[in-house]
Amino acid sequence: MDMAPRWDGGWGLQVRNEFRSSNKLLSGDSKRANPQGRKRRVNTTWLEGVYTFVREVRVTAKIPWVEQSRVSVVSGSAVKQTGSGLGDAILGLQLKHYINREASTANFGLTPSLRFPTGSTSDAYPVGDGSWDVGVSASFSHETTFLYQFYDLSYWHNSKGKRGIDRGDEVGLDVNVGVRPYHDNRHNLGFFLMADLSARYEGHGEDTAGTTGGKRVSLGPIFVGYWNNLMLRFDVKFPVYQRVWGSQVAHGTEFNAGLGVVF
Amino acid sequence: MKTTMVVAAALLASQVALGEELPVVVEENQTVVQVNGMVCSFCAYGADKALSDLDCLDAADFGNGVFVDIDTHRITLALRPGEKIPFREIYKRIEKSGYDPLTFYLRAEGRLERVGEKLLLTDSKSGQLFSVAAFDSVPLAAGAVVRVQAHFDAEQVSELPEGEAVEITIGRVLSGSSMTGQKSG
Repeated sequence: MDMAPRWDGGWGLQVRNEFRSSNKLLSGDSKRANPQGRKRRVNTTWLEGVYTFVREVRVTAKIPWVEQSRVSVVSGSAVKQTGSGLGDAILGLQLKHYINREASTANFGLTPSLRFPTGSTSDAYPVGDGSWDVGVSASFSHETTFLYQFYDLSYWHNSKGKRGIDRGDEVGLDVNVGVRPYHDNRHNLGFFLMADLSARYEGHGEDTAGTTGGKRVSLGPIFVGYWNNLMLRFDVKFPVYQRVWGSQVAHGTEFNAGLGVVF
Repeated sequence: MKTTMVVAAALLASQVALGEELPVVVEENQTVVQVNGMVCSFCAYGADKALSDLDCLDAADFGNGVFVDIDTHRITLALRPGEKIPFREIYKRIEKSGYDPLTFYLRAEGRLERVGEKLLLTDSKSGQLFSVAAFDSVPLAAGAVVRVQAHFDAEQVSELPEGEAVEITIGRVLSGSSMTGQKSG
């Protein structure tokens, strides 16, 4: 279920929406009273593109459109802050090594990435952080006609941005494991059902509303449907563990929906 | 304990079933390619896209002349009657789409001729020349008029000089063959 084009000169586009919202206030990993009604809502729509030079080398680009709001405590009072607009774009260079076996295909990937400060930092709840960040991820995926597994370990070095925003570095682990219960060869139509495990560690940082960072683990289901060169994906990430630095609004349950096409 | 044994037996049975290779049957005017790594939908789309504009294809079959079966990891190409099969071009296109062709399967019919050390078969419909390397089943004689299903290692065509005959292994002799002729080797 490697949904990027593997063929030389292939390219693809995906629109993906990511939504999360929470009014749960955490101190460390404990829920605490939230009399001032602190909350956060983030709605991000990503436009993602990929171009395959040869199967071992691809470039990926993605840019988000962000609509977000939060209630923060400023000088002892609850204040609603909003932000919207283009966020920080990410450019990646995917290097892959494929292993094709008779009844399976697998690949190892290494992706250095660069995050540009294309997002504005002027809103009360800024959609960008004003910094140039670098990242790298290492992945492995293995697929048969029935089983699929994917592992990705990533690291982002977040440098100091504008308006005092200085997010900590981030380490992530994503695991997707699942099956394809149905595939129709005639129409190249089918779907996958998978489980997702995501773990994140974000170093202690600051943004315009206070402390950022912590660690969290989420679990959830993934549905991927496809028909020829079209792909539809839904996934939900339920937080099963979260610990924040200081006191912050929880990350919340995350909903993702994406529609992709390759040529 | 009993449940564990039943589950283990079922798992073993499913593994055997998964590992079982279905025999390749090549129909008239078709060639089949066994492809390593051909297990996913985007694989199928990529291979289909890479092959569907080949001149030799009969677009009336499978919608565009190409059928990808990810369960057997095989691509079947429907050919226009009398067309030579551009094995090297097919190989290159599958490889460029990200996969590794393993074996070509084809049908050929015509008279076996001995030329020097080689036993040659010229397909009477397309005029395509094959060098017969070996027989999986019955031995054949030079001079025999045969209808056969044959196969060869796909790697062979990647370095084969243009116009050179591919070396096939005859897997099955089909009905309609006349086995009379001089004994080969």
